[in-house]
Amino acid sequence: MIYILNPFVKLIKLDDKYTVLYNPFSQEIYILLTKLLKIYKKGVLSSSIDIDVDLIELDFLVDQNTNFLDYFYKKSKIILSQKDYGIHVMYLLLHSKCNLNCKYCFVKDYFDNISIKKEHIIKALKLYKNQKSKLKKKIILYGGEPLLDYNLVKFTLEKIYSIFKKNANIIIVTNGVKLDLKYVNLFKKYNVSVGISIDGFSSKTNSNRVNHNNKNMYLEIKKGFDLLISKKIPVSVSYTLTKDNIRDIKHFVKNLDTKMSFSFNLLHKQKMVFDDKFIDDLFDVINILTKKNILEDRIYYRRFLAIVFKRFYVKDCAGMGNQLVVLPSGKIGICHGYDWKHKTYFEKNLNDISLKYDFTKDYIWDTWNKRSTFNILNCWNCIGLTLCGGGCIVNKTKGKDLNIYQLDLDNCKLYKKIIRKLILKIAKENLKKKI
Amino acid sequence: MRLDSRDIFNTFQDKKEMNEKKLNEIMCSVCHCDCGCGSDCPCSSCY
Repeated sequence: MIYILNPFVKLIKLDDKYTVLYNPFSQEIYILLTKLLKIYKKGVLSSSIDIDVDLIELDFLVDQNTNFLDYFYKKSKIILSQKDYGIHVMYLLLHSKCNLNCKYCFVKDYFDNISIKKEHIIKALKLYKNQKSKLKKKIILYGGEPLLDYNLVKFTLEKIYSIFKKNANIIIVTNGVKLDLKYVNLFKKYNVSVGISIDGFSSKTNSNRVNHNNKNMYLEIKKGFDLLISKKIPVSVSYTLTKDNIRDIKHFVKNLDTKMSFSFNLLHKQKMVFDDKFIDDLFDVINILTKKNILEDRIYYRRFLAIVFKRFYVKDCAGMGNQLVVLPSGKIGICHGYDWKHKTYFEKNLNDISLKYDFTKDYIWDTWNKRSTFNILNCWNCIGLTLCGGGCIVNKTKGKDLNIYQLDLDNCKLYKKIIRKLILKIAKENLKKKI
Repeated sequence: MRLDSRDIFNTFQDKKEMNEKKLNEIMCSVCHCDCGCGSDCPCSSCY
């Protein structure tokens, strides 16, 4: 039998002597003498002494007669079957209004200034409870700002507890301005985690965070953030990258010192340039946070640990058929980034839906569930095939163009650089230790 | 030269115990998620 290099394997030059091989279908990394690579490219007999059996076992080398379309289909089918989670996330939007008016907010254009009815909260929770899921369910209280009405938050948490007991993780995503001891006590009682958006530790880096009078709200946000930390509420920090803070990210994480999770977010509305300096900064951020036992979500948890534990990351959002988004009006949709007023992807309504409705069989959820990197032709030959997740396509599919199988190009550019650097870093660090 | 998971895991921090359960507990502290799927962690994917 003659073996050739698997065409899906990615090659990255490590130095003059070595080349890194990365197989997206096994997420294995192999460091190879470049002179051998030249031989493998031409094809080698199975009896050749030049072949390391690991290369065959891990599919770096494959039979030259392999049908690669069939190979791709079989491998992707196995991976996708492991990712069939069902509906395991629900965003419950308590208000379509906010006390802030952040310049980059991606949902404020759809605000109709209403709050959810209590009967809708109960029905939404019961409907969600009936959905099939292989994972523990997550309920995310969202808005607008979810903390505008204490009694409504209390009511919602009580109902979640009475319907789910401890079988759901509860997260509140807030701007932090309304946080006080009353809320903190409520969060402790119901084991709530808080996602808070803070774009650095200065007014300048938080230049987008303004109220309706255009007043910078950094100090008020920071006060809420400090309260959560001091009371040991589990916190996830979200740092939205803007032109005003992209160079500040390293400085920011150096000042984080409590157990938490950290994530950076990409903007929908503002075009950003992610140069090599920024990519280097991101890796410094991971180094800094790892030493502090703080979990960086975008690169370390989602991509790096995917390689470590072979998790195959082919979707980057539960919006790909795994979540319900319930609006304050009672409409139910796939993603809160879509136009609520014009009903794009918000065709269901709590007013007339059966509690037994199975969203995994709904054509919208089913279609979105199929959007993975395996179903986007341009991803097939990409180094990020099983690590990128395909990004977010909300902004690409507005108006008349509703093709969800197109690329999120900004995400592509960034993650191609990140994943390439990540694999090179892994290889370089390990080569140093082994030689 | 094949890199095994344990080697890879120590890329960012040397001599750290590779324990998937423990790692998931770190995530648990944030959103109490114990699924270990590595995807869709809602506490930070809300953009």
